[in-house]
Amino acid sequence: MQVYEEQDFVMIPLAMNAFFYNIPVGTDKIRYSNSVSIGEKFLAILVQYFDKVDEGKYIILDLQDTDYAFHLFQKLKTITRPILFLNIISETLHDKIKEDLPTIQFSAEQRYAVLNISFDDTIKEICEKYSSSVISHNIYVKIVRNLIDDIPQNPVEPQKLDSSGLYSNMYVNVKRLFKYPENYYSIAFGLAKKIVDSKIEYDGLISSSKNGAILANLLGMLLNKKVIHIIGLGPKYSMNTGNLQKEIKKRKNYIYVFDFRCTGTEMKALLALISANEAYVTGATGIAVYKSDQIDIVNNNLMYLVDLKTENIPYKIAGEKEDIITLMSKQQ
Amino acid sequence: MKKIIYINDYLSSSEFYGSILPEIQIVLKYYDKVDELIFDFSGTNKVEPNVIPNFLCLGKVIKSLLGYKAIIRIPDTYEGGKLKNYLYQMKFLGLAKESFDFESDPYTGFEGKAIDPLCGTVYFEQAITDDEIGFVFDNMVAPFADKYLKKYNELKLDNGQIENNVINLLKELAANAKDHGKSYSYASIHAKYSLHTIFIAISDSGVGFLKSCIEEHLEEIKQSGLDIRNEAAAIMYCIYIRKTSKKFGLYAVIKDTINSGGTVRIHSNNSQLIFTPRIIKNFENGTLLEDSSFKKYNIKNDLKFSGTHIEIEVPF
Repeated sequence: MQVYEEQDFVMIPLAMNAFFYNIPVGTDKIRYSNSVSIGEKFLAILVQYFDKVDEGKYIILDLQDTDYAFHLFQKLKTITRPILFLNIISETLHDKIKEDLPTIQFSAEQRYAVLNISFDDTIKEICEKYSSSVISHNIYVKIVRNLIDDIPQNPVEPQKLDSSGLYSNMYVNVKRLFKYPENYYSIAFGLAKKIVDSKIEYDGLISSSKNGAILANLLGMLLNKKVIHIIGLGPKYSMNTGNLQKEIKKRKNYIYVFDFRCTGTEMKALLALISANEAYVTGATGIAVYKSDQIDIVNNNLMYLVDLKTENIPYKIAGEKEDIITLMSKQQ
Repeated sequence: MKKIIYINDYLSSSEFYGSILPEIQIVLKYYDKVDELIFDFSGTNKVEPNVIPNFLCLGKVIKSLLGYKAIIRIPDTYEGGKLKNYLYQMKFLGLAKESFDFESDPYTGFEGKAIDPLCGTVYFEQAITDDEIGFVFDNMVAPFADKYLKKYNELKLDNGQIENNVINLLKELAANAKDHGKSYSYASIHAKYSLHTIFIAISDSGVGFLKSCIEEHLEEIKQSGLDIRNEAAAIMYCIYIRKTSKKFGLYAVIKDTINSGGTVRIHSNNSQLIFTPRIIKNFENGTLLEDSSFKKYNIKNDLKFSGTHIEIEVPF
């Protein structure tokens, strides 16, 4: 279960979690939808999860972009502990919840609701503070932090960045993501949402690294778009099969899918390549970026989940091995 | 003897009930004299999407009653190619293989363009779970919603609502078929962008409303003193059981549909009830069966076809 936990509460974004748990075993066709249906199986898993949460903590359910059928929420009647419902935006969903849980109390603007508890100032503050995007963002930050190999000890052992030839003090190990399907699907769900919400017109997805290709393949399935993998662009983990010239179609729009963007060297090379083939890159999307302020062609449409700089992750890059050691020792 | 049933230029729901079903009744009456049954689509240009589940159910019934598959004849002409293309895209051809034979290869000679992005037919076994039904419909409707409905939703400032309503409607109907009808079911959907109408149909070969209503609500019916002896009364009783719910059940489905200018047709074993926006007041008051014009124009009896068949046309 993907949750965002603090001292007083546990927040559960239902859309992100239901998306993962709705997928039947062995299916080969999944589509992204702006509205995720909560299924019976997921609700049972959710109710089981409630038992694992400390009694003193509020359980907060983020209902944005969700819907359900078959009087499913009647199953929550048996829960006796306080539950908060956030972001009830759809009117239909509001009416359904009201019908299934007669004791539920809605806030004046009907956007929030509480079960087995009354509204007080603390609850109101939580409701106002946590929009759906804040909750999911916190989860993405947690996932990305887990991807970074242990924050290096002193002395620093610099990592060479293959595409740009620069050195960094830590390594964002995206391959670790694929060990945990739930994290991987949550990331894919977040990226698909970013792409759909951006309303960018595009005909396909394009990737240049192996990690990016895995992500692009899943996004291609979710969004029902063609995926192209570019050969020989990333230096170490590049794709080495396929035929680039045949795949890129003239005057078509593509979204570039990357895993982690450091300085954007690979992206610039890709943009040049696509332009040379008379096609366009209308956007770029990936899990995390460093230097999101960097000016480049897709800057306006750079869709990422986490920016390492704003999350206070002490990621540093330098031109020489020695420089990064000096930089880190100065900071310590 | 070979029996050929000629299908009209436009195979609509009324054509199915009014013309094809009576002919099938004759075939069943003289079953020992008929050893080959052909549905001839030579003169057919169009098929209404809502007829597809009915037709698939009919094929299964014929196969089980007569012991052989009926034959579909679609000629290898330009018009026939267009019809085949439509039936292919509605996923009819794939599902029909089980209960029909085709006189010529149905997968050759397609003509015409691709149709609207949201169209298709699905088959559900009785043993399927509600979650599995939900997953099928979510995946079916989502790409269409992203491409078309969203633009429409933005105009209406009601984001995601139409998509959710359509998905939930399909889920409720398919779950009803397996829970109450105790049968397999076929469901089809076609959102015709040119007509701004979504056609939804679900057919099953289950027990129908009357039997399931008596099995499930016998005590309540006895206590209420209602006289429920025919399918029409049973349909109305089942609809009003869930009247208290604004968002779930058949009452909500019919009310929402006719409120938005749509039509609902419910057929159970031998009766068909047609709900149109005209009857909204009597429907809400629960006095429909006392309305003589409803009885005259909106209830059709003697349309023998086992199971429950629900057709909905919702404008969007």
